[in-house]
Amino acid sequence: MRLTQISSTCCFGMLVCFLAAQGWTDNPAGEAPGLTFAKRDAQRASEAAQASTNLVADAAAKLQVAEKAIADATAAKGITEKTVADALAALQAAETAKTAADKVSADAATNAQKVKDDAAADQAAKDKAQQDATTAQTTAAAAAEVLKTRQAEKITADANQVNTVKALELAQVALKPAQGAKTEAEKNLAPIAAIAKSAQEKAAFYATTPPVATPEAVRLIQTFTHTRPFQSCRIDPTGDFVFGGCQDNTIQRWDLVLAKQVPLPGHRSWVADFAFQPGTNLLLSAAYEGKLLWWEAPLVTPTTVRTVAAHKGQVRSIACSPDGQFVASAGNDKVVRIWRTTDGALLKELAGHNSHIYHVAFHPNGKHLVTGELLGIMKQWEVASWQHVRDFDAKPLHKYDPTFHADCGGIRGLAFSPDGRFLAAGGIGEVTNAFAGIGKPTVLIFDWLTGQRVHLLNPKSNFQGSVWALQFHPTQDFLIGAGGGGSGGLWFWNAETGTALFDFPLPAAAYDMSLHPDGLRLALACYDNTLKIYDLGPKPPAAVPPK
Amino acid sequence: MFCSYACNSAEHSITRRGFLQGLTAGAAGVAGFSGMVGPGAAAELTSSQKHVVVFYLAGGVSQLETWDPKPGTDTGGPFDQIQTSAPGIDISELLPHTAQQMHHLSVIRSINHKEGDHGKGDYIMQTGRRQEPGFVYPYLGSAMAKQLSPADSPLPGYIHVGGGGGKAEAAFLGPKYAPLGLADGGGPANLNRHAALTEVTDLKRRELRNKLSQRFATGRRQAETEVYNQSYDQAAKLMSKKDIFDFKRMTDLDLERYGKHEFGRHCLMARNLIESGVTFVKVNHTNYDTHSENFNFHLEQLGEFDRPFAAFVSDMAARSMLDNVLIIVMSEFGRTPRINPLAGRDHWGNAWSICLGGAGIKRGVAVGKTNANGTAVTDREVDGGHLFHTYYRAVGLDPTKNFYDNQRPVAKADPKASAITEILS
Repeated sequence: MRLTQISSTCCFGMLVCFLAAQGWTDNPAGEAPGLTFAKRDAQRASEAAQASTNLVADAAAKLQVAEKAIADATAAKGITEKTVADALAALQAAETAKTAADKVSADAATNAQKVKDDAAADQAAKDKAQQDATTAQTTAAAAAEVLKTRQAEKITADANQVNTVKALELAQVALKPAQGAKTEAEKNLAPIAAIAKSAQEKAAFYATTPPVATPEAVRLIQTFTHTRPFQSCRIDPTGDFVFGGCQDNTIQRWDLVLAKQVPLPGHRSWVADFAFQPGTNLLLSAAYEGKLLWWEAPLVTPTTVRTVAAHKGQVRSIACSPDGQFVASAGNDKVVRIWRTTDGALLKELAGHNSHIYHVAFHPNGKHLVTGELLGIMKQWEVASWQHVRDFDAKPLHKYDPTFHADCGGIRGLAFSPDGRFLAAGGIGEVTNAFAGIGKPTVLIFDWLTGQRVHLLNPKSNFQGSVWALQFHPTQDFLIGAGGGGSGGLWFWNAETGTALFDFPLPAAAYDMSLHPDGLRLALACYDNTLKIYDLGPKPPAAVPPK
Repeated sequence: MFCSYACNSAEHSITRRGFLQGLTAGAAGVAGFSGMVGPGAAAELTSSQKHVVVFYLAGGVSQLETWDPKPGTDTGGPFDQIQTSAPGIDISELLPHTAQQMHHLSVIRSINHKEGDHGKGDYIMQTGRRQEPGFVYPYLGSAMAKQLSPADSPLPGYIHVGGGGGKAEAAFLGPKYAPLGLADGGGPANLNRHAALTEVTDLKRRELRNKLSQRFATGRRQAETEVYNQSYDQAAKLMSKKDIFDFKRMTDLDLERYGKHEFGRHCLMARNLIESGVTFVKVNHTNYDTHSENFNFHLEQLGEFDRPFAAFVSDMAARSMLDNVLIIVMSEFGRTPRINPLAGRDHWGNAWSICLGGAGIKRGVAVGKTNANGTAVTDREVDGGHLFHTYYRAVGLDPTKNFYDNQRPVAKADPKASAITEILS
């Protein structure tokens, strides 16, 4: 639905500075952005693959530890089992000895009593019998002590055995997760290694083959699927992430290299537009509930840092000024609002539109803002004074349908050429049935200097539907339109000559488009629950031989 | 104004006799009289005269953007729901003004007439029946005009503000009950006496026409001349009440409250017509057939509908007219829960809603339910027949009685259905 709020050339220049400042990438002078980003992707993929490899090694080490723990526990258990057996034998021997000693003691006592009671027995015999009895009693007491000791030893041995059994069980329990972690790590490594290999091959290919975007090369390279259709999308200036505004009211972020998905919940309605605040890593999102949110977008778990209730009714479009000072927003309350990016303070309200405002865009020179509405009027505002300068007539993009008593169309896409010479407005024209969406995808090209319309463009094919997003290529002389009707389409024109260059059919309507800062890839927010990434660059061979 | 329908119609002979008897015999009643204008019908009314106003959102308004919002679901669309003045009844945020009047209104959220064709859905909603080959049931406006209009009313019983409809709506009831269309927001055509005629000359002209008609009727069949003369008489009565069509008298304050657009003026006209005694007024608002860009178009159309409709309801309440005026907001069907690739919604008769209020209707009630994402009715499923029974009951009429077409009884409402009593006061 939106295109660019900063010209792509400007965007790339800022990006390079931004990345350099962050220490994220090197950009040798004159290197093609496609190569720079391919190298960056390769580096990120390699790092991820290395991290994944490290994870595998770590998991293997942990598995080894677990296995050794089992072995140690098993050995300890064997020792304790032997100790228990020995203790049992000793205990049994002590019991036997005690039994025998007790018997001897009892017999001796009986005998001593008998001798004592025997009148015929002499004193010596009596004394000896008594001494034997005393000795036997002492022996029995000693045997009892030994038995006690053996019993205690047996209890200790049993306890030790229990502990070693438990230790073994614990070691065995720890083994399975360690094995699982290793398997998982190995499983994860394979695709990441493949990604890294592919990214390295692509970077190597682009090092020898200039990565130039051409319409005819367009091809699908990635598909990210969620649960509902996507309404909007934006690739961040680092080129690492794509953000999609989904009809479940969430923003979904995917890592373009690693394909990892992270949700950003926060809005209460469909997200209509995104902007990145230049010089920061802040993402702004605007949604139909009327709010703007600022996000720390690159965080592992992105968080909101600011919320602004910006408009009564839907916010349909936002744009950041190239210098990063301002964010302009507009929507159904027909007012353009200018906010200070640093603190979200309202600076100015621009009145003058008479219908819902669908788009806002800053001129690449940062000195002017253009806003476009449902009725096909575009207004130019001077940034220095925020005064209205002039109107552009984009009426071919609007129709009042007398049958249905409704206005239809409007400025669905808005883009400046990188050099600022042309302003493109897109939507639906030649509407024959407003409520069935029957009309032609249409783009109007205006000469910025004169304000005059110089071209009215349609796709080469007889597609019926609307342009939903427009973007000039930052370095090549073509303009890209994305949109749809029953299905979707990507359309390429030369804005200077007014020539339709190439049509590319899409399986589903595309409601928004965002060009990657490499100038080769573009993201589409599609009706079929997907964010799709298409590539306009040269296709790397299946395998690039090493140099 | 020649009414060919009446040819060979025994019903109209009866009508004439019945009409004359009705005038003389008052409410005494004659067999077969009950379905006709006059005291017989008046006797059915439980209180003072009832009126009906239908706001017809042509093309099929989306229930999800009006009376049964489902925000946050896969079918809900981008709009939120808002609380209303009726506790527990939330409606779409697209109707903020109406939301403030919901304590006067109620909704039925469980209509399933299974029809996705414009013409057939329209017929169901306006007649309470499915189409039958070779037979046409009277439309709601004609039926109500026949049964609720006072016998001596100089006013047409059924006015369609904005035009549309036709004598076919009256079916066998006769063209007297067909809608009088007020195209482009003005009064009926030729309402003023021709400038070349003085009042005396005009009166003499009408007397001469009557005399000639009477001579012509001697020995000839009565129905044709009856209707012919009736039409002239009604036209003359209407000319005498032409002031009610002087919409230039609308105040700036009213225009401000209702909006200066066509629908706002039409709603204001509806209020004035009802206040002037017209029985049934239908106001169209077009168009909601949003196969493409459903949300933008509903934003646009409901943005226009909301304020004047709410002003109308508010005025009815402020003027203590709600108890006597049945308000119905209907379409031929709703729209699909599924959002199509054009960001549109298609035709859907399986689970949708209407709004009712005023005469005979409980205030602030929601009857029936749909499931979480609005794809099916889960409670109190009703169809066009149930709605017609309910309308009849709401204005104090008995829907189980019959009309008579050539002396054949025709049930006023579908005998297989019954009234939605939960919503009746």
